[in-house]
Amino acid sequence: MRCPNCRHDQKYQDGMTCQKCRYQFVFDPKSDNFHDSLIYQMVQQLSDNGQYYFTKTQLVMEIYKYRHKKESSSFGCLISAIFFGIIVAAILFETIGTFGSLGFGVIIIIAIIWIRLPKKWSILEAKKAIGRYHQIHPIEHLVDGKAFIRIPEARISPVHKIHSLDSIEQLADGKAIITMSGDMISPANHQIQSIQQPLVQKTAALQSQESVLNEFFFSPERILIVERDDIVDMLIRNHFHQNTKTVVVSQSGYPEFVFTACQHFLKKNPNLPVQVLHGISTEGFRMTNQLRNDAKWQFARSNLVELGISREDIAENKSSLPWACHINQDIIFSQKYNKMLTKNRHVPIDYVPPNCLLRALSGAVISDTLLLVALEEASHISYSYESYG
Amino acid sequence: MSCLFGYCGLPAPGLLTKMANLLSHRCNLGWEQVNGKLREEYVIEIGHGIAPWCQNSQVMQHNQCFLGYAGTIFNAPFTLPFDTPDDISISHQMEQWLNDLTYAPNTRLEQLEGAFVMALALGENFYLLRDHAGVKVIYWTVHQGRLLFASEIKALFADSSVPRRMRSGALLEYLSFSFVPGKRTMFEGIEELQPGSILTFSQGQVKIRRHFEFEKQENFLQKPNARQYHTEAVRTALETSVQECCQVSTHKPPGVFLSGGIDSSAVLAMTCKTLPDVRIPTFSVNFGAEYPNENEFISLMQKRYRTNHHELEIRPADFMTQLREIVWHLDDPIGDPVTVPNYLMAKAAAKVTNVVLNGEGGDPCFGGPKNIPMLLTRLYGPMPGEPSQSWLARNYLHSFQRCYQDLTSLVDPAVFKEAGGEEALFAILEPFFNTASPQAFLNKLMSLNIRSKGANLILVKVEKMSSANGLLALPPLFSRRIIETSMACPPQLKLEGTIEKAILKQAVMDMIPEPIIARPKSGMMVPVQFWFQGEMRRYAKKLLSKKHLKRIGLLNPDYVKRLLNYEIEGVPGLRHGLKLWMLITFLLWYEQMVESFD
Repeated sequence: MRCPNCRHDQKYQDGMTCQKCRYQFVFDPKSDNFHDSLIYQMVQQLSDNGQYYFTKTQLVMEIYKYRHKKESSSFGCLISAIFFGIIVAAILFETIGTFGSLGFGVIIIIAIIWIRLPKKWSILEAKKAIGRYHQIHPIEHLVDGKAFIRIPEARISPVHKIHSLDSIEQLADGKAIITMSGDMISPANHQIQSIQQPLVQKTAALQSQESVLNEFFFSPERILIVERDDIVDMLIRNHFHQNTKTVVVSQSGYPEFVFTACQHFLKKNPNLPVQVLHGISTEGFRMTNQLRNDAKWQFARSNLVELGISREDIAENKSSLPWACHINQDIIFSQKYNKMLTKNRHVPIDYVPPNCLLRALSGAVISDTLLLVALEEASHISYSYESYG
Repeated sequence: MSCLFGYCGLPAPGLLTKMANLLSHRCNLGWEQVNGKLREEYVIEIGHGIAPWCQNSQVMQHNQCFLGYAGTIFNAPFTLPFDTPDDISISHQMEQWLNDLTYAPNTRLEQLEGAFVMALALGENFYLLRDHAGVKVIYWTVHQGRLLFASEIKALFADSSVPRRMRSGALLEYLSFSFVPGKRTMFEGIEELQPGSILTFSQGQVKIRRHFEFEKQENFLQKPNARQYHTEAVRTALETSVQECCQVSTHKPPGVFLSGGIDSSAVLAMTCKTLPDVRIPTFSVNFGAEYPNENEFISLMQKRYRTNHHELEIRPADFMTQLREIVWHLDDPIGDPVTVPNYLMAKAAAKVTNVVLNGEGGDPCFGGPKNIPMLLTRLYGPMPGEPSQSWLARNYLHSFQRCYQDLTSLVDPAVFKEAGGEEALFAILEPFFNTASPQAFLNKLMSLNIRSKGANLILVKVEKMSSANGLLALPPLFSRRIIETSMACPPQLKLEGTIEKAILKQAVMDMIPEPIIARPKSGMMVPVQFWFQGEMRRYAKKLLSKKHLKRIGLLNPDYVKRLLNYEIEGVPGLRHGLKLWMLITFLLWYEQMVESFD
């Protein structure tokens, strides 16, 4: 097993810790379908050596695309296996006769195919493998949709000086108490958590955000609503909001504070476009209408614009897309979108790596349309004019 | 043209002449000097390259007062220019001013406004000044008890004992910002006097005081009819600034550099209002019919104001042979492709006029294109794990979109470490974000843009490129008056929703065609990424060859090769063209200013 850290070729009998650099292997090559090098390489590739943040879906898709390529080359494997089998049969024909040599040839063919063909994984297996790896070797650039969750509202009051756990005064509203030293005491179980540093950080951020709310004279050029919270994290951590002057929120209203800001923005700028971004799925195609009917999004109802991917666009698609389904099932690569949609399969919007999605989306938000072909071609170089005013 | 140079301290025979020789490109009409002894073994020598727009003396001596300035002073409380440097029968006004100066030098000097740098020896004290915005530039160093000063760094090396060493942090700063921000330069021990500052050299000690603190003009008091009040204030400030600039050129009408944007259009409109009977020469550039241009908008202004328009087409073949010279004129490298159109436009304009007005200042003073990204950054707050102290600085550098993200791949690790890494860069920006005044975040950004990008990039670049061609470039939108007026203006009138420079647009709405008012900020679109994949490819490959880069030993040749090949993988962003331009500028600068003297 090759160590992804130092490239040392570790023998199985040497155990799960790299003899050279002490890297802790996560996967056992004899019992696991995955190996450390695969995950490591996918992470490096997706992040472009630490440049980009990505979602778990993007990582799963990257792994599946890698396997899909291997499967595509398995046809060649089949041909060579048959050829080799015939050669072996011909050599053994004289010695063990027709049936013997044929039998041997078939066994050789099956053995080669069995060894060379990539193993199948379900989405759940892939996600579990990523989770296992992440636990031992935290994947720094993996987003989780929680980057902008603020701690529950806590009261900081010099009045509540807590000297001992026995003298805790239970607050009527059940909120946590923050002591003068910055510890938080949960009203539920009276457990003390030291949160001073993060609280200071969060307070600074909250103060910053509160003062921003007071300064809502400015406006982004648009609001972008995405399906999932982790897509928000991925876009923001990749500076999408800065590069395109776009506020990004999820349909659930994450991040909460930014969602509140959106209401202010629309109040000040009633013509602000609110673009809806979704993948290829029946839920996705309904997303814009659902938002229109959602009480939470009433303030943006008349500004909603579907960015993509539209049903009409997918009809023109010629390439094989990765269709995901139930978590316990495999991803299927297919061009037959109708069939896939009927089977409740979907293609998430983040089926492409972050750099491709960012490139395609940067153009799409300006032109008000995201075309599937743009996503597919996003890896090609396309330059716009740079200005240095 | 019109440069200032000299020294104060131990006598150095021949030094002033050597400095003049190094500035010969700015002394085409000759140079003048004034010198004298301040005390035993302590002299002052001031030289001034004569300017075509003002062919009278700009140096003088009276008793123990020695004065010289370059540029133009709008509100000099004495008659200028002087008739001759030896005119001892100075005017009564001048005598009064000099007397006042003796008692309260700083107060009197702070009051001077214009586009100038000044050297003044008064008794045993020596003063160096730079105007409020920084339209004119002056560098200085103290070496072996002597203070040397000059409009260009190269003249300071007239004293061959002045060390010529690249400062360790300079390369990182240059690559991150595309210029060197603040008072430091690329060289150790050499500093750029910051705008609105007075340097005092006395008893061998240097003290610098920044007197222009426009941040204090920030005002949160709600005025009745605030919009109308501030609109009129901006309009009046712009009118006055333009009038002052127009008065500089007495022999020929001033020209205007026209880009098609709101800023230069506003300046042109006011100029035509100030000089209604004059057909103003205007100048613009394009890069060939195959590239986007702003001719449509330029044409609107040109037709409305019936200007005498000159359009310049710029292609690589026109400037590649001059690029080395252009970088040499820049003095400290500025990795901005707009330097080339600046240079070539100045060259063309110098055939027609001595003074041009431009629209520089509109973005820093009234809100530029980077403000909304930073406001959105602040909305989301720091990312998980991001230190709360430097997150704004980090994001500012990121939004600047130069080579900040490339640093660890592009720069030799030893150089990166010696320079202090990222923290050294954040330390330049953090004071602007952490300062108590101004309070409003937009105004903090304004202050940062005026003091950094404005003072050390925009104005310096324009000054060097125009002076190289004997032209005085004046930015009415970067006057003291405009800066203070804009700071006093509430943020919500400067940035209204997505409309940047809202109050400026309001102030000139009646003078500018509506399509120009309504168009979003564009900037000059120099097609470098196409040039480097076409006409300039071979040139860039030769200059940025592995051999050259290894010789210099500061940059990673493999990474530079990826930029040259326009590889996307492993290279953040898509601004390969700009990054290549910055590297070429740096290489040309390094070869001429550092290597050729090693």
